[in-house]
Amino acid sequence: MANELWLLTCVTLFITAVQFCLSGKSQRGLDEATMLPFADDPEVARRMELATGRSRTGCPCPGSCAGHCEDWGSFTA
Amino acid sequence: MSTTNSERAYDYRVVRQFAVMTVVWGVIGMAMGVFIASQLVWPALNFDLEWTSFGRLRPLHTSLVIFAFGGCGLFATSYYTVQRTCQTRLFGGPLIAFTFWGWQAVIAIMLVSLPLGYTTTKEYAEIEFTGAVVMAIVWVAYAVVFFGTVMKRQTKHIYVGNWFFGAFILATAMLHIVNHLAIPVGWFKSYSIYSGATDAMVQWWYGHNAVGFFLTTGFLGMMYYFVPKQADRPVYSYRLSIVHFWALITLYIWAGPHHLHYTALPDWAQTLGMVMSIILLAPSWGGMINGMMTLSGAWHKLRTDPILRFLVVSLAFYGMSTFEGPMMAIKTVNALSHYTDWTIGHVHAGALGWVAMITFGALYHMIPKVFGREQMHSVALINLHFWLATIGTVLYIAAMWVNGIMQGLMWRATNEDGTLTYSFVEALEASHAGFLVRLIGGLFFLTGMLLMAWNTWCTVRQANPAASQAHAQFA
Repeated sequence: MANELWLLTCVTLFITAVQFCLSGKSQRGLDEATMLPFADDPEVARRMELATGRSRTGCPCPGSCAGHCEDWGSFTA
Repeated sequence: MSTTNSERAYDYRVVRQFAVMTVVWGVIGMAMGVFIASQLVWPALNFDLEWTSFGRLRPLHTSLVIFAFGGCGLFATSYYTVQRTCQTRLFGGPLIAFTFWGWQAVIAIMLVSLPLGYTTTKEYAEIEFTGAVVMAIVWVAYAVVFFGTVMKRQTKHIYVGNWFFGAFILATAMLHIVNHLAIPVGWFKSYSIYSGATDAMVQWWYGHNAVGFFLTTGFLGMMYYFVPKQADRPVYSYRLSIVHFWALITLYIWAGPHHLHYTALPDWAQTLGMVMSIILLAPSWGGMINGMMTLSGAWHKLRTDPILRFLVVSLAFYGMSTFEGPMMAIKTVNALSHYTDWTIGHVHAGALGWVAMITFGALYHMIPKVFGREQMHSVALINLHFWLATIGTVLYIAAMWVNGIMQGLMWRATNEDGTLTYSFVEALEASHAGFLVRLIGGLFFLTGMLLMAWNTWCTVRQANPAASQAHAQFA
């Protein structure tokens, strides 16, 4: 019985925590968080953008845009 | 090297100090490991002195590699990562320097007290009362610096690497304080407030989670920052990293009882430990896959970048040892493996393959940056270090697997009349070849560490303060 109770507690805690952290988070928000290691390193960020086509700001368009895809054209080799 | 005091610059001074000491303690701790490995091959090396006996030096070796080498590596990388991903300077003023000098003082206490025989006798928690109190104070200061920095961040999000570092700091504080609760009868003599099976359970709750939170969660924080940076690729799945984090946190803390299979511990607790350990395979591999897949589209870099090779091979060893661990936690497997060298091999697959290699990769990435260099003094030496470390690790764990399984089988072998087929000494004699191969593996690994120390010395000697300060500036 004790075993089952501990397992149930763990599962409940796990599901609650994951729900709390991920529910309501937009893809944009997750992308912003993903890019944090590149946020203060322009050289590495540029290489990453060229290689992956993803924006260092988490913007849906590639390149170092300010968040509104206005700088799309700046994404050049 | 002077350090800018500008509020617009990261604090690299403490990062540099901890990074250099990681290398220094790595050399000393691993040399100690090689020495005690040679004692098992040639027992005369105990010198018939209590201070140099295996029983006293073995805890010193584990304390030095875990808390001195691993601890300094974690301090260095967490301070570096938290500043750069929060885009702010470290919080805490004089507390920052206190964490460095305080931690070195803790290690100095270990260096003196353990060979003198002052020990709690609890594995990985041998440091006696006064040392344990100093350690707790330094750790609280570390928590204040780290979480204070997170609190004053200039970014909207807290990067997932910092979640892992944060959990490692909090859980380690809890484990250390609870396991060290004792009644002191002198500066370096105390009695645990627990007794019997409870004492054993608390100790292995601590012992397993020292592995789980100190040697896994903290180093995963390292992985989530340095693998994307070195690969020039964002982490494969941020969602998976969040799931990985919570699964690890909710499961790891219950796995400790698998260290006490077939003991006086209640059977339900043993089964719980076994079940949780097996489930733990899922988040462990989730994290490993997340790290590996970060290299999608960048695998070709492994041909030319030995730093990335260190990071990726460390993940491979992480995956291997987190598969082996749950298997060894199964009671029937444990009946064969427990108390044998298989356990030592398993621990070193994690310690050498995962912990040390990811630390090497992170340091090789970080040291040039904090000392204002483009790269380490010699990339060729990093490559040589990589191969020495990999060959050394494989030799070590293969020798211990063979020894462990052989010992387990010899210990349980019985004759038709029920008597033991082999005496303990016969199993020990049969292990001698394995001990020798283990020593050779350790020598390979130590040689690599010495090359790293030389490479670091040459890099530090050519430090460029202006470039370092430029790299430390943030917007």
